[in-house]
Amino acid sequence: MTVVCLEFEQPQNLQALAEIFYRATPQVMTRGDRFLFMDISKCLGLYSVNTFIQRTLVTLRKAGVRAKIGVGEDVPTALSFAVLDQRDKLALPIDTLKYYFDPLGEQVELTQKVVKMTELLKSLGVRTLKDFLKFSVREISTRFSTVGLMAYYRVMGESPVPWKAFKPSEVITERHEFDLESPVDNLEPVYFKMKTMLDRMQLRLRGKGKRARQFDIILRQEHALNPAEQDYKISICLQLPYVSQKVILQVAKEMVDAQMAAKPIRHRITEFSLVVTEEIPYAMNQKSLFNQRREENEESFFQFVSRVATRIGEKAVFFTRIRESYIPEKTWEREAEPPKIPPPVDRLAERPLRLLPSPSQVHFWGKHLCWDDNVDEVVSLENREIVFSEWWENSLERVYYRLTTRKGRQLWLYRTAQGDFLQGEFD
Amino acid sequence: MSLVLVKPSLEELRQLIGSAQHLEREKSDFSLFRGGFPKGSIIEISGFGKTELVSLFLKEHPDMKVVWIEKELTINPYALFQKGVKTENVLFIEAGKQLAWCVNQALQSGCFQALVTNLDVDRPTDEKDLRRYQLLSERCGAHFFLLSEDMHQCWVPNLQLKVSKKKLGFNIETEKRRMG
Repeated sequence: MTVVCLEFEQPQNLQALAEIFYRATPQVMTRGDRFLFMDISKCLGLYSVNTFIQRTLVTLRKAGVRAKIGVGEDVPTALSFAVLDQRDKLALPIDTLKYYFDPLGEQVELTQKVVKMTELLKSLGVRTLKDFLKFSVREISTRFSTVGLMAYYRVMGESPVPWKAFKPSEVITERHEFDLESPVDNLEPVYFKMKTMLDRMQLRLRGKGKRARQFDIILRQEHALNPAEQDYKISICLQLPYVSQKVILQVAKEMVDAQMAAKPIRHRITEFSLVVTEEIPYAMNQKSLFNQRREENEESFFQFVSRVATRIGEKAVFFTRIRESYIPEKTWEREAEPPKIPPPVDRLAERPLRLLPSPSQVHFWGKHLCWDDNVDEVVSLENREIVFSEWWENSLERVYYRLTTRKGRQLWLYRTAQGDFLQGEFD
Repeated sequence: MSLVLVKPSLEELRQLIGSAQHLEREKSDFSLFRGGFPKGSIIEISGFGKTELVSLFLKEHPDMKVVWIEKELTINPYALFQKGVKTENVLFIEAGKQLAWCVNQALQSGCFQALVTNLDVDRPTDEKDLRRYQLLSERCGAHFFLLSEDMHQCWVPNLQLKVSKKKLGFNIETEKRRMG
């Protein structure tokens, strides 16, 4: 077994950090709020230990945390190596027995017994684990009972620590609290902190094989009288989420600025958080070494779409998927991304290039046609087409016809029992 | 013997100093309009059949990345598909009140080779705005198709076409062609 242990300098939100490393291996475990264990023995076909350590260092730098790394053949050895920065198991001091007895820090009372045992062994001149292993099993069991025996077996490598199943969070949230004595009254500190938080958010999502499609920025205000006003929420939509962190930060900043201009924040900010509200699968692409320009163009396209979608709403920016239907308003659907399936074969009669958002009722007056504020003379009527709804829908029957007016307009109307309606124009 | 004054035209003078070729913009061919449509310029089209004319142009250039921006979308993507336009390459934006901002952003992004809009049909477009769009489309080399009910009476559009449908094909009149 190959286990990597990370010892963090400061207490951390280990659930979040475990999610980041979930991408490398699903065997992740924590001890308190400073130690993270990863079993990478099953993944050594994908990467070597050295590569993993290099990647880990980069990831930690991105996440803005520092840690010492220990690699060992089991959990307690990796933990001892990380804490003492050593590489030789047998040369480890006898004090590390407590790590071997209880590597996850869950049995505090029994660990005290191990500490006492360690003191006794030290007084007998046992300094290292190598010295400890010179005792026989019988000697250990008679002198130190089951506690000593457990530690002994762990040092021998004969009693592996059972791994607990790790479960990533359902909702990814990143939170930052400002110093309560000096809450911030402008957005600069928020933007400064947001970059690291977005990086962490992306790393955590990537661990789950996901990307954010939509997330909320929540600014908590200091003295909001109404609890409902305490949290100032800004929703960011990444219509095409294949964008870099730089672009996401830019889109977020733009949106925050725009919303603040329309509705300024009233109080100082004590805390802000990022909450992912919609995730989508993350598909990794091989970086194109030969066509950098194409990647740049795609990046600027995704950036444009995300910015516009965030500003005017995700439904307002779209591609279309062509569908087979006789009902004109059902012949296409809005899609967030360019459709991957080819369009169906066109079997319909010619449809007008302009369709009104909702059909407008028309009235005939002799040869004249009136609708809304328009009056025009009818020159010809042609191309009758009867359209029925699908059999499983409400019954609908429309008789469509194409009408040419004196001004040269070609209108598309239909007649039902309720009257005549203008639905489009051949423009 | 009297002295005859020869007064060359502006175009002839430009040719004499060799600057005429710099004024010619790169063009995209179009079978219905001899000479094609100049890139990086505003092409204003009015009359009945203007949308169909643009869709036929897009059909002839299937690889063009297009953004179609309207305040309230009335374009029928299925009809575009029927005309032969590759709708996978067309991004539609229903911009509402943000129409001018969206047009600006689309041109600034440089991602599109053609932009089609009718601008704000309810409000006359400011000459300044048109000039800005013209400069932006020039910078990114995109066709800016402006579909209007009535032609703008300002100098900014590089090409103004009046279209009317015939039984077979179109009647296209060039109202204005501006060089440079």
